[in-house]
Amino acid sequence: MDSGRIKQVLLNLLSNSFKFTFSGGITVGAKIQYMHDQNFLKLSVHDTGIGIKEEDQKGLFKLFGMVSSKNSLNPNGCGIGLTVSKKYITHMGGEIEFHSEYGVGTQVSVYIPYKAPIDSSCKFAFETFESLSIGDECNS
Amino acid sequence: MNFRTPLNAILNSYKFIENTFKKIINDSQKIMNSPDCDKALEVLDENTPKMKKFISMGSNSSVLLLSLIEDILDLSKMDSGTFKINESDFIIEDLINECSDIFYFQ
Repeated sequence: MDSGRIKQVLLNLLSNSFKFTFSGGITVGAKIQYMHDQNFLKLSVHDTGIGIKEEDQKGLFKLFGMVSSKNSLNPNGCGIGLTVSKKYITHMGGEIEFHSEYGVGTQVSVYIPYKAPIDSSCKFAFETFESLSIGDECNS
Repeated sequence: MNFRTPLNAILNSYKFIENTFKKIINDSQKIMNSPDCDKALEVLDENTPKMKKFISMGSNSSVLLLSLIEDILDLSKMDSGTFKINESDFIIEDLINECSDIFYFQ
């Protein structure tokens, strides 16, 4: 696996979540998931942000495609993060899954083929979570 | 540079942009890894935590800027067919922590 590119993807997803989350939190998860006769590393970023309207979701992975950012914490996006992330994951043979509900939050999951053997010493076969809280303290 | 055909022009432009960005990345990394930066952080340790917070924000922003430049570089590599995946071992927990840390101070 390409750790540099996976880090890029995670940074892009976290950056997007951070821009549109004003209260609640952002949760990052990692685990091994078996599907389609293969092991996958599943990375997920879940936020309690403003969510994305259904009509805006179609153009999300287009280059320079951006959702109206008037509610964003940082409106200076370029519209390339998700496009590049999707291309990275596709190059690695994986896929990106996207669920968003307007006003509730967004969850983006990334599945990357995991070829190494898994034994009992493999710690992240179990779920590992890291969460970030967004609130008054963080914005002061 | 040899701009004889439109395809050559595009390929050479990609190369030029790639080289320019590589230079920017190298320069940014030199600044980030310079001993002066560590010394500056040491001095700040003795001073106000607020200033240290601002320096960390600046450092984190430079990491984000670097990742944006790398994204653009990779897009040009994908378009020119020279993009390669670099297989390496890593600890997923460390990777997640490194990414989360960038956003803690923001």
